[in-house]
Amino acid sequence: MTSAPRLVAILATIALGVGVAWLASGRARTAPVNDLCVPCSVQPAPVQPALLTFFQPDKKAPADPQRPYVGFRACLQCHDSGAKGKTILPGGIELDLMDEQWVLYKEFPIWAQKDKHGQAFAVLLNERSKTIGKLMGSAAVHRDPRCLACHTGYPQSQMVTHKDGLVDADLAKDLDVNLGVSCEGCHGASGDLKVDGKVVRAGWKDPHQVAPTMPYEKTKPWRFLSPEVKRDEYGFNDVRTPAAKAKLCASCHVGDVERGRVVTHEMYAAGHPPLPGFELETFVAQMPRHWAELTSKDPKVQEHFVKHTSDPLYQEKTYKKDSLHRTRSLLAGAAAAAGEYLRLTAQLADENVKGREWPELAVFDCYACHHELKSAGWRQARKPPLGVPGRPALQDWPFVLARIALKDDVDGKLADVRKALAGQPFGAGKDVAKSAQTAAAWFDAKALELQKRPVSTQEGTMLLKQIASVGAEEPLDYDSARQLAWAFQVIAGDLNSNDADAKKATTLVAEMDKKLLLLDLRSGRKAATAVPGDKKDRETIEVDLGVVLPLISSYDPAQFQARFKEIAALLK
Amino acid sequence: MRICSWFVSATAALLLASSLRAGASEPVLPRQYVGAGSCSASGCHNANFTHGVKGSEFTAWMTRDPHGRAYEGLFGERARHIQQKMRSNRAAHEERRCLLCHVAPEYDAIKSPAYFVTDGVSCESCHGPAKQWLPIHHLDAWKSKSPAEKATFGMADTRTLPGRAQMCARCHVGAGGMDVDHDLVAAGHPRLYFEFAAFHAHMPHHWKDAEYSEVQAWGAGQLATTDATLKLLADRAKAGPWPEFALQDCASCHHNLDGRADRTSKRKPGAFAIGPLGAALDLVPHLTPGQSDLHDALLNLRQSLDRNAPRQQIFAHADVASRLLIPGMLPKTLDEAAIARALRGYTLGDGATYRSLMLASLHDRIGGVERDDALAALRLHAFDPEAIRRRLTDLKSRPKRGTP
Repeated sequence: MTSAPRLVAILATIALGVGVAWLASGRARTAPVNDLCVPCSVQPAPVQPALLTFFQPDKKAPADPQRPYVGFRACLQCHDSGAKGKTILPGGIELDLMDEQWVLYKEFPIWAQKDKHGQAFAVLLNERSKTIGKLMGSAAVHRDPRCLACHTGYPQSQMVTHKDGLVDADLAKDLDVNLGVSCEGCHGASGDLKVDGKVVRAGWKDPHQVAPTMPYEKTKPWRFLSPEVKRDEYGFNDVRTPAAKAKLCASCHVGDVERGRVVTHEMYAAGHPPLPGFELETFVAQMPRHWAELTSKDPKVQEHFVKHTSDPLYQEKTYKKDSLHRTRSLLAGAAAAAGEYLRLTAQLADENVKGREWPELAVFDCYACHHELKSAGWRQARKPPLGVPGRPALQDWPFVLARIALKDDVDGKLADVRKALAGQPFGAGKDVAKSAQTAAAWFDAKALELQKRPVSTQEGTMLLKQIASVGAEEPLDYDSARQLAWAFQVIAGDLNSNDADAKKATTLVAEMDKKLLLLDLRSGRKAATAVPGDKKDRETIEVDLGVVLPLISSYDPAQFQARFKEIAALLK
Repeated sequence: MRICSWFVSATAALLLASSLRAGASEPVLPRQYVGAGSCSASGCHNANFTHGVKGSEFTAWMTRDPHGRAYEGLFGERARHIQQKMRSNRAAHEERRCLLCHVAPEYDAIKSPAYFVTDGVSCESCHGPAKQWLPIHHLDAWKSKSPAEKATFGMADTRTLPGRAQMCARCHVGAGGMDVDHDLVAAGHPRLYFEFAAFHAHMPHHWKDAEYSEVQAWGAGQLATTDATLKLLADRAKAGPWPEFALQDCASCHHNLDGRADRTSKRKPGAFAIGPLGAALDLVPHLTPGQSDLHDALLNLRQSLDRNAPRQQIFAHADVASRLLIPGMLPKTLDEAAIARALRGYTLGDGATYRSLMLASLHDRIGGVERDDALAALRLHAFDPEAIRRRLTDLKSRPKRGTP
């Protein structure tokens, strides 16, 4: 059977079977609605009223919904290759879930075996973390909410702390905590939102299991709901739309005062590895992905999705199959990261934000202070001069790709922030907060524009040339240079050109890894850490500061420029 | 000529006699500058002999002392560059802030047409405005006056080591409105790092010292540096801009991120380390046993700096400490045995501390440290603070200086 008639047959069967089931269950609201997800059928999930009543918006959820964290075990039911691939439908048809390609159903093993997010908690128990705790006067970093805010997906706001400011020691034994940033850490807590014991918003745990088998015209199956509805109604984070995804990652990878996620200068000084500048597509690729992007799914699936989804980015007019999707995501992600960096700056400088401190040195350009005291060094050769001598300036990495992605005058938009920071050392908090907030909003809006705009192959080629020219001409600091190198790799990968020179250029970028820049963030030192409750030591890959720091301190922009001159010549 | 000279002497004697009767509590006479030319008569200070010979003070200053080139420096490429980076429309030699150190701290008050700013840091910049004492300072009666009495005529105390060190510290540490702050350093001005004993030894002497030891010079330098630093800190905290990074140890921020930073500090990780003042705050209590008011004041100041307190608080603590410092510390400043005891009790923890001590070791006569070694030590990661400490605490074998 070829795939097209087969799909039609499947869908027809499913539509019929589930339609009946749904009609039956619609009133009783107790019967399982998911007849595809085999393991879930074993443990039937109740129908979520909110899904069915989606078109009749009910009372508003609290401004900052605190949904309970359900835990990774619930996800294992389907996403741990639990769906063995084949299931027999009531009509006797055998359905191969893997062929169907909507979902991989092996998300958990990919994450558990390859993704460093799963080691985020375990590393809090290693020697370096102990040293950090000692230097910072923290009795146990693995119980310190300042650390847990990023090192586990369990929401900091739901952790109960003792008088000593630490969370309960037993929490370390809880797999939902000690497996680090697991499912709900990124996808959002999936429990029901209750007020006074009453469910006011269903969590996404059950509704998202509703298979694409519903009669679409009458209700929206989960995957066709718009990202906003999934987020606002069910608490499911938007992990698909580039700008939203970038913001989600940036909450930890850049910082977020409101969620208690700030790597402070004190932490760095105590030994926390430097946070690398954030580049969405590179970070996603290095996780690695535990999902298939729509573009790599079966063309029929793509067509089907575009036809039915409410996601504005995937409508027939907006979804250009042949455009460079990763590049588009990279460009939007760059603008979003710039916005998030400025938002962090604004939050830290704003005296009305709880838990912030100003000046927080970590938000400033590291190399504004941590540089050799040379005169006539490369820093002075930069153009335009980035600030007033002697006054710590903003980091530059968030803007390197934004300048390329946006035709607008990026530095013009930063002028007010820079002015506020130049007025006195570290700037006057109020002025910094206000100007950074304004600039952040501008970058946010630009990210939304960029993610709507398909990127053609021709544009991708131009972008590569532009990156090469910036890299060849401008002396950039370590993090900014790395942004360029990463972007080059992403776009070149997206273009996937067969041209020999283009391939050579890509090789020249890749060869910089561990010689000039650390491009592969997954590389590190293998270690074993004892986690409470475990039967054996857990293997982790620790950031090897012996590799990371010398690369930063011996970094020479001239070498990077020379390399990019070669690359620019190849692309001409 | 002879008559003129006699007249001058007679007038001077009268003045002197009247001032001696009146004592030092009399109102200070107007401070008026006359210019270096007034000192340069060949019969007075310009005898044109080798430096260090009495009567050739002006000669030595003019031919060998870099202070005489201080104004010229304002015309160089670097000065132009600094002004450009400071976003100033004026040339450096027209900038008041520059002239206060590159000519004289009272630059604004100088009215005499005979005074040439081109002389740079000349006689009166250090010795004080000479109008009142010029006619009388060669008399025996003058020579028997105390520094305080001489001060009422405008003459600065350059005779005692603490007095001399304090005078140097006005520019070499800085004072309110005439300081080298972080902006200026970032714009290209060399940073200020003052260690009196070393600077003093290397300056071409145009005088003959009474006998003193390097240790005493070091003690006087610590007093003067701490005093000037506290006053400058108070002024900066009061007048802003704030925070002022020049207070900090340069290397507490300006170090490579190579992971080899000094982790022995008891500071909160990532907090600024106060610079030379930090060394002083550690040392002074050891030098001033029993002075609990002073110790408390210094401790309060240190804590307010460490926790990044509001600048009003820092001002208040610095102000109190600076008032107590000289009365508390001066009696021990020249006491070699007390300094040696203090250094032995002095723990080297903070980065700031050893860097200050290291500067003392720059003086090639202390502990036999070769100049090249000492300069190598300036490269911030490449020296052993304990070795510097050993050199400094082994004080007994120091040769005396001052007598040829």
